Amino acid sequence: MNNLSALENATLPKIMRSPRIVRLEISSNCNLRCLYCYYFENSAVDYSNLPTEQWLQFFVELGSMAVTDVSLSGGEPFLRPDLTDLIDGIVQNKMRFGINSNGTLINDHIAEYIAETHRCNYVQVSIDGSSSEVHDSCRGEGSFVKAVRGIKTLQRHDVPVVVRVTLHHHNVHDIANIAAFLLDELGLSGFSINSAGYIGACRKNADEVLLTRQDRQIAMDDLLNLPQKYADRITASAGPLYEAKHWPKMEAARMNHDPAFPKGGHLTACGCPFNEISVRSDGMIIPCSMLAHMVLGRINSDSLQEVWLNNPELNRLRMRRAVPLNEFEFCRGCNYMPYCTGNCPGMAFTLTGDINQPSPEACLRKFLAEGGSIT
Amino acid sequence: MNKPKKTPIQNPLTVLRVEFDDWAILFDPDSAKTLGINPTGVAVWKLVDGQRGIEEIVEEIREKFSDVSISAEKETSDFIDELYRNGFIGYSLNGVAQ
Ligand code: SF4
Ligand code: SF4
Repeated sequence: MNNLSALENATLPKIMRSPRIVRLEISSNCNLRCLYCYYFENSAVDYSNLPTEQWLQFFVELGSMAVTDVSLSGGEPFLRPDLTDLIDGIVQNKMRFGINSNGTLINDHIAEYIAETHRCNYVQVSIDGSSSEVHDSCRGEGSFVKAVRGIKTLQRHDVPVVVRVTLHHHNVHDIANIAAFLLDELGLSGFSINSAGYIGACRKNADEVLLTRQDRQIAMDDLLNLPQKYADRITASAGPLYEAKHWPKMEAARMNHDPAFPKGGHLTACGCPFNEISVRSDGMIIPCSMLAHMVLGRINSDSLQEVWLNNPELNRLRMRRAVPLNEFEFCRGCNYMPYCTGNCPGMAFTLTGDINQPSPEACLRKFLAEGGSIT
Repeated sequence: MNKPKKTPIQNPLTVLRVEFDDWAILFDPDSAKTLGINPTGVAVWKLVDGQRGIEEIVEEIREKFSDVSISAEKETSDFIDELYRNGFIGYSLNGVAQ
């Protein structure tokens, strides 16, 4: 058992009066069953759906708290038959919205509706390959054609469309083709990229879909070696691209005995609990989708403001950043410690069963010990 | 005949989002524009009600904040101009929005 006295003695940093973004899992249904889906197969989650009125009531509360942005996800948000009513509620309460979707259900009618609100920040569609063969390998037959049609429909109606690519064992050799397809053929300005993580349904299919150490090396190398015209347009906040860019900085700092990075040496990842909060499809308030078991309250019964400012579990999550990495057996003797943030608490929970641990999945020392290399 | 009175008035769509202490942002959900404002800016914003003229707003700000500078009138009218340019406010003439 680790000594987490730092957590007990920590003082809470300053918190904004209300979250900037509220992420809403408005639908627990999905027409796909992707092999690596982070959302399904979580035994802590009740996959039920709130009726329209309850979401609308909650949007009034969000408006009164001056929340400016919501994101709609699931499951698949376009499966909600009342989606336009929900969007109306968001607009009436002076907010903007984004939608995360598999793209397969988007038609002219809904794209036009979204465009006419003038409040849509983005519709994010998941594309995992440059062809049906690759994309459908984890997402199911026919999903590529429909998702691409969805993107083109959004583009036709001038809805801002962004794409998220999730790397896995079956698409890791397709990276250059995916970049060319999305950026040249579909004409997107950019896309973001991550990799499948050991969470939700992916736990069951881990051997089949997760990147192996070798896959991860290929992904990192290929992403760094993309032609410049693509490289500048691909972003990542975690996963192989992020690591390919960030780990060499950690290595250089270690070699030069540089002072600690500003957030280094403690469990500082990540900043989400200071900016945003999420709601499950059954109305339970949670810190984020990666911590769906951590129920902080229920919408329309508990005040969101109260939960945001005073929920002890949420504040403990925020104070996690006071915990030094040298308290963990896992990190003992690691020379990267002053430059390391301990990685995602959601992944730490799913991999170790404890949120107050560094997550081994994004550990540089472990990657190198297993034969990985960074350039 | 009285000179028509031009008074600033909030755009009803604008959201005042107080974040830390009395620091805030103004947010226009239609354009997604935001503007960070300090506590004096927040106080000015709350006085932009379509009734008060700029001089009255400056006067009230002076009463509220003892450390307001000599150039408060210019700063306040520049700030109100900035709000107007960004679409966060409009002007009303004798109580009629323009
Ligand atoms: S990853 Fe998304 S599209 Fe795939 S099954 Fe899960 S919710 Fe549905
Ligand atoms: S062992 Fe891994 S997680 Fe721990 S400090 Fe080193 S690099 Fe970071």
